[in-house]
Amino acid sequence: MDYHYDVIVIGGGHAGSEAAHISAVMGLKTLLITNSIHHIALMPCNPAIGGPGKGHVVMEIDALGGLMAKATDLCTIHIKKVNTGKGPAVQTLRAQTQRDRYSLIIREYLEKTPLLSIFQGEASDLVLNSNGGISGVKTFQGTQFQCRSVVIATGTFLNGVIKIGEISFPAGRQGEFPANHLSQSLRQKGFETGRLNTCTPPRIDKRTIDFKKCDEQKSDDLPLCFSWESTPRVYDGSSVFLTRTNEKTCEIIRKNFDRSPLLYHFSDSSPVRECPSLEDKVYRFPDRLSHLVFLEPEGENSNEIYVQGVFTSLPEEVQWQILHSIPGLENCHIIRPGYGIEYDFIPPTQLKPSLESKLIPGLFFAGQINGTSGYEEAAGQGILAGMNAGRYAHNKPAIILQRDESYIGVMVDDLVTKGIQEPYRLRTGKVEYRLLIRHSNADIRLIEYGYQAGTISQSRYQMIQKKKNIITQELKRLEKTSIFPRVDLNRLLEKKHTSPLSEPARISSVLTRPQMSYYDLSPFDPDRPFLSPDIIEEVEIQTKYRGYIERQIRSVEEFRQMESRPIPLDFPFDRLKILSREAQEQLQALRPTTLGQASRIRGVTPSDLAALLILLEKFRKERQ
Amino acid sequence: MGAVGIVKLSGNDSIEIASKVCRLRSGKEIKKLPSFKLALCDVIDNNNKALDEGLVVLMREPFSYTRENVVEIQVHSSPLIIQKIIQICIIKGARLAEPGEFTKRAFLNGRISLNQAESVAEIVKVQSEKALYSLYQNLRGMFGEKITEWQKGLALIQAKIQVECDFSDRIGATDLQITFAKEINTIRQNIRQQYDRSKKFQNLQNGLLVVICGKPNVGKSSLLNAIIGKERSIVTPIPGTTRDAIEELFLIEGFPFRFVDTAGIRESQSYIEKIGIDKTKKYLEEAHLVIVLFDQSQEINREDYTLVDLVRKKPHIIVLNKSDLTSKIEKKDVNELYPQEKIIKISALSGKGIDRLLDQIIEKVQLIKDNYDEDYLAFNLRQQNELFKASTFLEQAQKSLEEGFPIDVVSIDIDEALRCLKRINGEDIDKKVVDSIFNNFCVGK
Repeated sequence: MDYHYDVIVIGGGHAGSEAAHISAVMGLKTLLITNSIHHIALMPCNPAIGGPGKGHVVMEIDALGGLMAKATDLCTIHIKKVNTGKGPAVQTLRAQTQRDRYSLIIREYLEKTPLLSIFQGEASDLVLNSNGGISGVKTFQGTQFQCRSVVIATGTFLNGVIKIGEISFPAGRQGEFPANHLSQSLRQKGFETGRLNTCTPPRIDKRTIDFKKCDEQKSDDLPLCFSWESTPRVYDGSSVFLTRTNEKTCEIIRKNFDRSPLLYHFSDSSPVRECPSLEDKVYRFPDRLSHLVFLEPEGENSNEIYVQGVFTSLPEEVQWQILHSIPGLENCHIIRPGYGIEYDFIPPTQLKPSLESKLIPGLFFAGQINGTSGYEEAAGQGILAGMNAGRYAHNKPAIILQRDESYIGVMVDDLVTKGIQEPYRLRTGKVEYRLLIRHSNADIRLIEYGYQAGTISQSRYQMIQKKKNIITQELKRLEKTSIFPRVDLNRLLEKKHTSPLSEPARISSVLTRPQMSYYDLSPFDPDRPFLSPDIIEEVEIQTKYRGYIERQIRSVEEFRQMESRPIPLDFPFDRLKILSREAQEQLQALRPTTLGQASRIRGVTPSDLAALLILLEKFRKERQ
Repeated sequence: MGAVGIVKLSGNDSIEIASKVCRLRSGKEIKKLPSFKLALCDVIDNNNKALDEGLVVLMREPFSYTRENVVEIQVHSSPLIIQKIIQICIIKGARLAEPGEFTKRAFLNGRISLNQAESVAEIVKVQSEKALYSLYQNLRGMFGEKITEWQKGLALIQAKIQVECDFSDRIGATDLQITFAKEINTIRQNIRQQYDRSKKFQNLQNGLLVVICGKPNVGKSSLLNAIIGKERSIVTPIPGTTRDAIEELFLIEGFPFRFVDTAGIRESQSYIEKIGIDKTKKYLEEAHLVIVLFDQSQEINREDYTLVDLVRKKPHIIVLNKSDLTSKIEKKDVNELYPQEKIIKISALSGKGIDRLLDQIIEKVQLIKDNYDEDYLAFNLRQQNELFKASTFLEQAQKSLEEGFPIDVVSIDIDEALRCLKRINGEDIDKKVVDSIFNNFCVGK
């Protein structure tokens, strides 16, 4: 029996699975410790992957060599392109999946990964070496493993307490034990912990729903998929159905406000604005009498329907009443009632942008334990923490994803710089340079990181280089090639409500018109090369929005200047008398690693930054 | 007055910009000028016309304070000239420096030595505090409230866009493109209006435009000479800023004035004269104050009537010249044209009555100034510049939306406009957008 590993990952959810997988792919001997091997990569909440912000992360995980995209493609039953017509930056995919299949597929991937072992047990304590760095993990049941770095990805399990109406009991998820020992161990080692809560909706029996009263949302009739390794497919089976709550629903909820243990206004838990419960929505928006409810299939072979929108911690008897007040659900049968859960999290300002803790070298945190919500957010942190735990074990510098190159970078920067007051969700609106970091170019954006870390193959790397070249060439060709004011072209332009040409024009300039697509111009562009749809999409976006893209590139240059100035780890923030008191306190508490990060900390003003800049220079010179 | 004013450019494009603003007297290209060599030049405006003569010196990287390419343009330090040069530099691609930015750049580029570091840090702090003080001191009033109001309006649009993109399942949002274009237009017009008024007010402070008008031979030039000749006024001639009319800048009791002597207005069919009259009319439109000059030795005729109609709505002073000659018209004749107005009798030739006219001018200026609600206005060039930029970004947003650009792309323009406003009042808008989302819209996963 070998007790020595390079990297140990605690927790087998979406963060833990991606972390363990990528670490093993990088050639590190990796161990995944999970409470239950049957619950690897479980989807305890909605049976869907993707959507605005989240779909972008799925693409980034794929670009870095992770599992989520390809696993989703293998169990998709319904998929849609979302946000078409609202802008290229916010367009992405959302897939409904066969929930139980997803878990099995990920488990299979993990089991097939060389160098990766799985161990069932409850990790209860961390072992440190004489320098205070991580050296191993103990389980409650009595095994001790040695390692060079650890990723903790325990989700909602730390001190988890389920709350349904007046009832509450300790649990990690419904039907699973919580992990209380590790939480205590972390506090003993000096970590601050906080409490968060979230709700999940009831699942109901498909056979008891009157779908005629609901609106149907079919899967798109275009072939779609997430991963570059998958083949796009059209799905024509399961649909999502849409219904609405009504005045009667609100009435029932209003009567039972005081029975909701997690309603923000009545409990001492944190506010939940990004994923509010239905009772929170009714409480905060009393004038709104109707809220959307989506009925999402949990799988083609399952009778369970996930009632998206009815997130609740109200007592079960009230849940029956609520559902029966909704059109189409009057006679529905609940299979699994909804519930709220409260759990410990590690305020993520205790982490570096690599997701390593500032307190214990070699100890990384990822996923819901950092205060995020959502599978994709968890998986995105998982892959980054896994890569960096691996690099730590190899004594290589950490990979830091920047705000201007990935959604994962934005999320991690938000977490470690601003901290959280409520469960954190990614949204496109949080990403300031989103026009540059699109769903469609995740592979090009992140290829260098994957290649550098060894999670991307040489052939894949060359494939992306080739793709980049083809895009550049086609952009140049469109710049150089003219089309002429022919009768049929002008007829088309007028039909599309845009002005006809009176003299020859560059194809690129005609394509700049929002009404015109690359495909529209095909009859007038005979020398056009044959290109794949993903390349055409990129070429079209880069031509159409060139002005805006160039402006964002200039903003990024300014941003990078600040980002490229590191703050040494031992920089004496406490001696910065010259700064405002608030800035000094904040900087000392958060210890930012770059000047850019410092600039995003609350309370730090431009004049504080100017002074900081000077002191940094002085510190550097004194060092030499 | 009389000292030298320096406009300093730093950065990659500074030599390029300088070569568009200055023309060397030697006829050589500025780019070819060696570093640290003063050269005589003309500062030129957009139409290549000389504004002023000056000296220009290049300091090429890394041998400058900021370690970037630096150009200094030295000119006569009249506030008007300096403002004008700054404006031209901005048109050619420069932007105003942030408080302490030159020092900041010097540090960024490793120019400041270790010994200097600590003391300069103090200065930067003081500078920024001063800058902050001057930045915020006039924001307590209505102007600050206006900025906040616009920020709120734009933040709400941003919130709506984010809600649509992050929480709505529908396809497309063309209805919102039209709504947002309208909402943006309203805010843009408000900002633009504020900018125009501020600009006007600033022009007022930089030099009140006083236009002297009257029919030919009424004594306009003599009046101008009489005013300039007064001991209490100091004269700085600005060549080349005027078209055909003569413009003079000088101070009267601390107020800067620009006096313009216009071509006479007369009833005429001649094309060339018509051009002259059009120019006069244009001056009259821009004028803060008009001096309407009558010749008391001549009877009032149709030409005087034309004039009366042109200036009736403008702040004006009525002056009867040539009081030393026999009078053909009396005050009451003029009062028929301008009922119940004060009329000042002068003799431009002898100087009689000029003091009373100057008093009257000062009095009028006070009245004009009181007319502007100063609380509402952006005082410094920096603020005005941000207002102008904000309105330009919003114009772009509106145009893009009307052309059919999707809402999320256009949010880039709105974001930039918000950042301009933030630079005026220092308020962080990111939190406002987020709050706006969750306070106004019932959203969630």
